[in-house]
Amino acid sequence: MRRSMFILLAVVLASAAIFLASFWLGGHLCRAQLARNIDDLHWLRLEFRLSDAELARIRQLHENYLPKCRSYCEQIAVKKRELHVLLNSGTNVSEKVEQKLGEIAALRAQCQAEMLRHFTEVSRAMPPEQGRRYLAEMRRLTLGFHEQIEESMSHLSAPEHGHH
Amino acid sequence: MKNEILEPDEAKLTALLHECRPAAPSLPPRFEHAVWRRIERAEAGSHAGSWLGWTDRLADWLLRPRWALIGIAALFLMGVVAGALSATTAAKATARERYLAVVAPNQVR
Repeated sequence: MRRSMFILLAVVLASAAIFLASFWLGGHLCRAQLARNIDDLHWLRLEFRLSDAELARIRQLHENYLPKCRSYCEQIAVKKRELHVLLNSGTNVSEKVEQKLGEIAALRAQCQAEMLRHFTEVSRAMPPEQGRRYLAEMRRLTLGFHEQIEESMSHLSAPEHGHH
Repeated sequence: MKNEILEPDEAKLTALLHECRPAAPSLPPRFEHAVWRRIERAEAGSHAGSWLGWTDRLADWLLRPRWALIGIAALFLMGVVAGALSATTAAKATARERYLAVVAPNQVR
């Protein structure tokens, strides 16, 4: 092989090594910088470019909301434990199991309503455009998952309904 | 020797034939030099156009200290920026999950 070919091969390999090393370095430095921030609301500041005043207002709303959310979650966890006990005690779906499922669903619905109220309040504390974007994003992230499942299930069951 | 002695008629004929022969076209000045120049140029062109000639020139160019340093600096800069962007995107996703886990725990979603 000619000398120039060896040189070109060496240049390509050295370039790849330099790029990968600097890629790792850049990523490492950036991660180290971002890891220092352990604030739960850091994403809001990053994504919606909030001012300190806006973030302070949202932090207040956030602090007020957390105990309510925690309370609902604890109640749901208690009901779920009771449901497991009922399910383990028999093989049939009894009336008690059905009732427990209803209680969990009701609690979950209350919690979701509270959550959506909180999202609305937070969106109002943001500039209008960012607020709209936040609300849409939060609805998509929190309720969209169920909507996707329900939609996929309804598509799956549609041909079966057609047979009946 | 017999043939070398021309008859008077034959001598006339030869003289006429010489007169009738078309004159050779006159060559332009430095014709020979120009031909060699063209040959040299054609050879140099075929070498430069070949793939190996191209790699030779590229290797020479890359080994020049100035261009090598510029290349290393550019690669380093691009790598650092790409790494930082990639880490920022990943960190943003982590921060979003963190926020969601607090305001909308999995059992509520």
